[in-house]
Formats: sequence, C-alpha cells, structure tokens
Amino acid sequence: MSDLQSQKLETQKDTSSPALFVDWQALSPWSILSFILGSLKNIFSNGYALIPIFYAGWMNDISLFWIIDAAVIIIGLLTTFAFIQWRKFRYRIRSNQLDVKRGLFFTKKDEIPLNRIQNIRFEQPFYFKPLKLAVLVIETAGSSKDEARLSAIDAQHAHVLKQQLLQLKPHEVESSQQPKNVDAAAEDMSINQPIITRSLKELILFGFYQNNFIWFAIIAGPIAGQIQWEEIVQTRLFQQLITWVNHTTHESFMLQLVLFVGIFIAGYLLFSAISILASVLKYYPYTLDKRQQTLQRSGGVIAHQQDALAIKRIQVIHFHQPLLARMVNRWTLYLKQVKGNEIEEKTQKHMLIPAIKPNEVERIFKPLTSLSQNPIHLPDSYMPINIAWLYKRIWLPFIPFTALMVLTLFTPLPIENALIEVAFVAALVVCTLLVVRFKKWGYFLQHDAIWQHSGLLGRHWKRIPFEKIQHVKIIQTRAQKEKNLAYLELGLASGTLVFPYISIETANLIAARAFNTISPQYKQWI
Amino acid sequence: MNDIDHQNQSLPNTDIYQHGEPLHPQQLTPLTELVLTHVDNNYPKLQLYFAGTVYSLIATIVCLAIGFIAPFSVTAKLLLILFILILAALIIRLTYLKALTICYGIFKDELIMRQGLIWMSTTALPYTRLQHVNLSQGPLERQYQLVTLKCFSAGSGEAEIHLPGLNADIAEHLRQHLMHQAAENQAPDPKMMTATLDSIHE
Repeated sequence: MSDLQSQKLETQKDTSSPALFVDWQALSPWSILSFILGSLKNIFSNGYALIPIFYAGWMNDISLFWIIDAAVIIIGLLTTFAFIQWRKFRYRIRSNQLDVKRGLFFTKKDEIPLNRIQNIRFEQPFYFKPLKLAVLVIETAGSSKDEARLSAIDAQHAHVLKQQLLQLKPHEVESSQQPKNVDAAAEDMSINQPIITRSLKELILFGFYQNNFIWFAIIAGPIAGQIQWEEIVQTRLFQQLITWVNHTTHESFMLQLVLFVGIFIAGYLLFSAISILASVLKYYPYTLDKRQQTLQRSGGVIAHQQDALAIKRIQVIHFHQPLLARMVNRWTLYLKQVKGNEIEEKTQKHMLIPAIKPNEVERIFKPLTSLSQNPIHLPDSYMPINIAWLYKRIWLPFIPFTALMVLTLFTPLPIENALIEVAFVAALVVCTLLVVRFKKWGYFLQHDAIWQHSGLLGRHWKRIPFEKIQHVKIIQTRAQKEKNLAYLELGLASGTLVFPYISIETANLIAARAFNTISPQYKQWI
Repeated sequence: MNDIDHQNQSLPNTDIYQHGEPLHPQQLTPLTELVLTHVDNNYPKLQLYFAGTVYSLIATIVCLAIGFIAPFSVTAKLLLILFILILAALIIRLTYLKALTICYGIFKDELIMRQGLIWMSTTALPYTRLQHVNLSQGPLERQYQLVTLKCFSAGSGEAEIHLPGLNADIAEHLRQHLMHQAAENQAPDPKMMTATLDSIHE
C-alpha cells in the first residue's frame, strides 16, 4: 500500500510538468531488446511453418555449425532491424492527440486523438522488471494491428504518460499543486483503495472452475482421429502396456474400468492444475482500482500487467457461472467493451474479475456511479420466455429416429436395431438439454437496464443498460404474431443480444424504455 | 358563395365532432404496427428480373445436365426436371415477394425499417446512435436509378440498417437529412457537457 502511494506521489510530481512529452521523444535503447524479443516471439509462435525445414535438416544430418551460423545470422538481422526501428521511432503528445512516427524506408505517422483511445495496457515483461521499465500498449476502437506500442518506457513515466493519454489531468494537477497537504494525501488514500482484490485462494478457485476440459476434449477428438492408431497398437510399448494392464487387473472388467476412470480423473486433475497455474501466473496478485474515470487491473507473476479501461467504455456487464462454479457459488465477471477488431476481442481478453461471490457484486459497482445510479446486484429471479420456444424445437431431435423407424418398417433396408436405439437415446439427451436450456432463458426488467439470463450447464447473467443500446429489432413470424410473441434483438456496440419468444408487450416496453433513454439527448456511449 | 354562407348552411350534425375517449399509452401504435413507406416500385421489378435470369439459367443448366448426362430412367428424369423447375419458380417468386415487403419510415428521433416475408423484422435506429451513412449503387441499380442506403452504428462492422431500392433523389435527401439529424443530435450541448463533467468529477 505504502509502495503504491509513494509511486503515486512521484507520479504527481511528474505531472506538474505536463509539457514533458510535447516534443518528439525517442524510446530508451532498451526498447531494442523488446523489439528483438517481440520478433522472436512472433517467429516462434508462427514457428510450426519451420518444422518441416528442421525435420528435413535433421534427416539430412546437417552439422550443428550450420544451425548455429543460421541462428547467429537471424539474431544479427533482428538486432539490426530492431536498432533501426529504435532509431526511427518517435512519439509525442500534443494537446489532444498522440503522434507516433516510425519506419526507415516507409515512414509511417499515426495520429491518435486522445478521446478515441479505448484502452491502455501497461505491461511489464519479466526482463524489464529489474530495469523498472515497462511497455505501454495503446488501443483504439477502430484499428486492430497498428495500435501504438511504446516499449521500454521508464515505469514512472509510463504512469504519467498513461494519465496524460487518458486525459486525467485536471484532478491530478489540482492535487499536485499541494502535494504536502494532508487532505490531499487522505484523498489519495481513498482513491487508492482498490475496488476489489483477489487472494491466492480465490484465483486457484477461479483456475479450477474455469478450466476448459470439455473444450479440450472436443478439440482433441478430431486430432485423435488423425493419429494412426493401428500403428500405435502394433508398437511394442503398447503391447507391453496392454499385457501390464491385463496382468495387474487380473483381466477383471471392473478393475479395468476403475483403472480407466482413475486415469481420466488424473488427466482431469492435471488439466485443472495447468489451468490453476495459468490463472495464478496471469492474475496474482489481482487488484482492481478506480482512478478518476478509469478502471485499472493489475497483476501477473512473471509479466506484470496493468490494464486500464475507461469506465464509460463498458457496455454490457456479463456474469458467467460455469458448471463447476455453481457448486462453490462463484461468478466470473466480464466487462464487455466495444466490439471490433481490436486485440481485446481477438484474444478474448475482456477485462474480467475472477471468482466473485454474489454478495460482492454490489460493493464492486458502488464506486462506479457512471455505470448506474442504482446499486447493481444479481437479480434473484427472472421472467421465463414463452413455452412456444420449446414446442418449436423439442421434436427436432426425434427426426433421425423417426426417419430410421420409417425406413425399417416400410423398406427392406437392413438397419441395425442398435442404430435405432442410439438415435433414440441421443434424441432423449438432446431433448433434456433443450428443456434445461429453456428453463434457463429469461429476463429481468429494471428501469435503467434489462438483464438477460441464459445458459445450458452454466449460467449467464447479462446486464444491458438502456443508455448503451444502439438499435432495437423486433422479429416475428406470422404464427408468433397471432400468439403475440416476438424475438427482440438489442444491438449494442459490444454485439447484439437476442431475447427469444417474449410477449410483444414486453418487447414494446423494452423498446420504449430504450428509446426514451437514448433518443431525446445525445450522450457519448462508447 | 363565401365562407360565412358556408357556415350558415352547414348541417347541425356535422358541426359537432366526437373525439371519443383519449387513447391510453398502451393503445398507441407499437413499433411493429407503424405504417411505413415502401421502397421504389422499380426495386421489386429489378429483383424479379435479376433473380429470374440467374435462377432460370441455373435451372436450365441443371436440367440439361440431368437430361443428357445423368443415368436415370426417363420418368425419373422428367420428375427431377419438373421438381427443379418448380423450385426455381418458387425461389424467384419468393425473392420478388421479399423485395415487396421492404419498407422504411423517417421519424422524429429514429429511422425505422421493416422487411421479411417469413420473419418480419422491424429495426429502429435512433439518430443519436448513428455513426455514419453510406450510399451505394451497383451497375444494375444505376439502370433504374436506385440506391442502397446503409446506416452504421458503432461496434459491429455490419450495417444496422441496409435499405436497398431507394429512388436516387430521395436517397440523397434522406442521407442529408440523416447526417443533419445525427450532427444536430450529437453536437455537444454546452450545458450538457458541463453537467456530465461535473458528474465525472464529483
């Protein structure tokens, strides 16, 4: 805490000379390191293309010297490029825009208006930690790849720069004029009070319930299909394994089953362990702060990361509870921003708050008055959608079964009974899932927002504030019109959300509330 | 005969007009029932010609292929060809009917568009959420002086409102009106600005 505060005070001292970045600035030479490592990372992450080359080289016994030579040449080239990149990289902040100039032959100049900046990410890779350097990544709503990246900036400067870029000056300057004032310090204390922190235990919990074993299994399935199992079965190792299994289980089926279940659980635990490790490395120690009108998340064991997000950019608040999290009653909270091609969307890195209890929700949003005047907490119940949703779908899974039955009864085609049984069981399973999904569909209407509830095994709550809605679409078929039902689609900058099979009165009511909120006066919403 | 005479001659039962009970808010026309303007008459025609040409060409090619290449019996061939022809006619008919359903309305605060044959969708986009407007005209549309209007909001790359088949003159007026509305609505009102700033630095 004291650490944070001293940092804060120093920051303020620096802000007292806001003209710091008006002239063209070069990056520190350390940025060369960052450039080199950046390109190396690129090479390695696209490195699968090189595997055939390496494989061919290995088969043809190319000597180690060649490989070393090649590596040296590559490193040399990268260093030269990085050096040039560093020499030609300049940036400056003018009254309301950030200019970045780079490139040797093709000089490129970006001018980014400050009020278009979506997100500023403060990254501190492990090799910059001892040097007290950091990388600032500036993201805008529109562009995706060419966001500005200011690397190897002194960590203190980075904070100042961030505040300037997010235009947080007025308050900062005000309080920096009287840095020794006790009141100001007390105020800083209250500002520095984090909105929420997550302990190691909670992050472990998050890693445990968030693991994507099911997705892994789905992805692993086709890959397993590619492997030539016959050849593997032929190998001696596998034969030995089978003998060993048969030997230890005395060829008893129950024991074999127990063994396989055991292996499965062990695999699952391993997967969870990886997920937990990833969660802790990425987020520990998790802190979410509010500084003026931005939210800042910081944390990360290996690479210290700090994400800043202007509060007004938050569109939808998405609470997600996977199946496992239901047992411990924790939710993951995503703050959805403007959808676009930006990095955040690609890597699915919405700013998130892991493993929160339902009773913590209100406390988190209490300081964020610009999101909602009223306290935000998860609704206790929801209005269901019309049962017609289920009637429309419930018979679909039985089509394959019925088709098979008809074929067996009326044609002489030889269809195995087992196939019919499988089709029937599958139809029943899908039906059950449909019923479960139907039970989870619902909405909860408030004066300033509407909540959407959905899910299959997990649960989702999405809070859609009326003031962020961009368009409203009501979709009806003729049959729905007769039954006074409709699909309602709400378009937001973070994507569209659909409420299926709600009554037309509700749809019109939601539309009316949305229009009454957004039509009369213009307010910046993204 | 002047106006005074006119008044004197009028029958008593037409002089009094019963307004009836005032409407409750629930009785006001909802979004899905609003009366909207259809797009230019040439647009369904264009769609009909275009779909007609394309699908009959495809159907002809498929039918020829079946007639000469496929190893079926003559009855099977005839049935298949009949089926394909009916399918093509149906698709062309549906394309035309769908083009007929497209209509739009310019209201005080929002632009409304309705379309769809089976799924009738009504989209409303308030001017305060309008980011940019785009007019485009393909070579076929140029023949009929038709224009496609697209209205974008933030976030998704797709147009929220995709309104084809507008008469070129109307479309240009419409675009200017929309841009004007958007600019007027989105101009930062000085009073509003300070209000929001105050709430920010509370």
